[in-house]
Amino acid sequence: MSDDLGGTRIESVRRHPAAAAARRWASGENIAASVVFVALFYVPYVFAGYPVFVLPQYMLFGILAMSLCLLWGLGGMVSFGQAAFFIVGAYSMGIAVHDIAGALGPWAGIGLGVAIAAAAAAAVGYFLFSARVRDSYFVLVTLAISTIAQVVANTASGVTGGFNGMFVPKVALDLPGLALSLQSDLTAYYVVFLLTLVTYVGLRTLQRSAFGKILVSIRENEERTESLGYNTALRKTIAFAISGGVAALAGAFYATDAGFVSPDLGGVLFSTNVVVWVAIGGRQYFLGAIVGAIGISALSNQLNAWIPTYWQLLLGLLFFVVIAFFRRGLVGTLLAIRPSMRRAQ
Amino acid sequence: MTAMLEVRGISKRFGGVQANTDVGLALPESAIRCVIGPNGAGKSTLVSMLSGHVRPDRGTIRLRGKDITSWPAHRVASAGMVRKFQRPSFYPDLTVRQNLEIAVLGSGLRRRALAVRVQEVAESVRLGDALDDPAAHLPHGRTQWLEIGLVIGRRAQIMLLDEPTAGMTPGETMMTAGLVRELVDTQGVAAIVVEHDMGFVRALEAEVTVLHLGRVIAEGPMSDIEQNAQVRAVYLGEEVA
Repeated sequence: MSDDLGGTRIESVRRHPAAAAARRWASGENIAASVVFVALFYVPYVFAGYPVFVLPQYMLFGILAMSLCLLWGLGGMVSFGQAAFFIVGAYSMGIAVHDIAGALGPWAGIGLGVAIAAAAAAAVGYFLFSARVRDSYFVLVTLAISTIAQVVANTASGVTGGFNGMFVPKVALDLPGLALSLQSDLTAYYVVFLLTLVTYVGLRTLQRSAFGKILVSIRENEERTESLGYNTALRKTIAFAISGGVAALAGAFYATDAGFVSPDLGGVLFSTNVVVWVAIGGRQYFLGAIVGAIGISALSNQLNAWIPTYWQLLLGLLFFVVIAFFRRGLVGTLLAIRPSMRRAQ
Repeated sequence: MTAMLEVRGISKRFGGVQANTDVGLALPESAIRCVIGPNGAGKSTLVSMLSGHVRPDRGTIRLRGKDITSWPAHRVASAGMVRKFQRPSFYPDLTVRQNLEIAVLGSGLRRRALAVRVQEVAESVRLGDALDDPAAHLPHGRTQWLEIGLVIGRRAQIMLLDEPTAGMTPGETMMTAGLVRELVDTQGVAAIVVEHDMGFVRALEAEVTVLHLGRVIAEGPMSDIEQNAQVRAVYLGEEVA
């Protein structure tokens, strides 16, 4: 049966390459992602004030969540260390803006943050994966990474400001012929929006590449993949490094957007938040990470205002319900309703 | 003629157990070699040493003249010797197509060529009609063929097949023998096959190496092996009786 179908499909690809490409593109996730990004694009047209001010921060959390999604959704590695890489980016931005005058500062902050975080992740990943540390042992090590990051941020107060935190001014991003000052909420909104979109498209491209497919096969059966001739430790190290870099990218922008970096941002508690966002949103989908991060952050904010005492309990309950009954998370569950649309993925 | 694979004097001890002692083996191009022996004869350890999963204590393994004795498994596979495990090992939650893609990607093909090659491999292991099925939905016999497909998809030059007919019906076993023979004849790969099923080994019409307590006790065509008194005593005796 599917033999015939396969034949027909190949024929139609030959005759109408554009139509076939369109059909391949129109997977459930791509359509849902278009809806989400179009909605985010129009938010400032509809709402002024607070949403435009606060959403960039949530979108940056979305990027942070996507960095975990790469590890967990694709590679099957749960990391409680994402906050550590996030805070490396945040401090890099803060330090670079203070120490490097002029237009170069913010760019140096972003570049250094991403480079340092990726290099650190690569170094740690190389030792862990070569030594075949995986599953719950890997989780434990990543918990330690977060703890170390928080402790170092607290004690190295000469560099980080310690528990007093570090104030970071709103920067201006100098591009050829264009200066984007993040002091304007609207500019900040669209800069972060674009960053989120570019990260999403980039990670989706990575997911569809040979590297992404092999990463998924490592999640499914690492021994088989290794025995098919792939150096799986190397590939996991690369994934960990990319993930660390992406987390730091979000951190660098967060520092200037929020204006303040404290050691808590690198800690286990914040790392756990990231895991919760991704689990609730749907770990198999980068879109799930974005929706989870924005949704839960917004919800926490609202609940905190409505019921200051019990809001965390409610959130915990939600987490429990999703884990128990909707394993695929919000986005995964919604997309599974239309299985015919999911096939192209 | 020089052998494609040349194994000399490899030995392996696990704690107090001597799994293999001084095992040698030479495999010409496009040949099949069956490895038989009673339980505990050291067949799986031998395969593990060949595939790079276990490092021999002594001896050398040469693939086309290159010493690969201490290479890790992924390098051995890249060099063309790819293993099918005894226990099931594939990607149950992925479709047959996605399973084969992982193998074929390793041979460097992309996009159009990838899709064509995946189709080709699927047809060669009789799975052309199941490409979009989740691998977990395949009946047991066909998962074994999928695993052979993974090995072929990786463009193995030597297939290491550890019990390819485990759990199969007699009919499926014979079809698998035909399949392995066909792959060797048409695709020019060689194969080392570890098996229990004597019917299967006979059907392959290949040279046989008999292991007993970790040593090679006989080598030759199946017809000679079946006449060998020592083999009959340690192994076939049990089967026939």
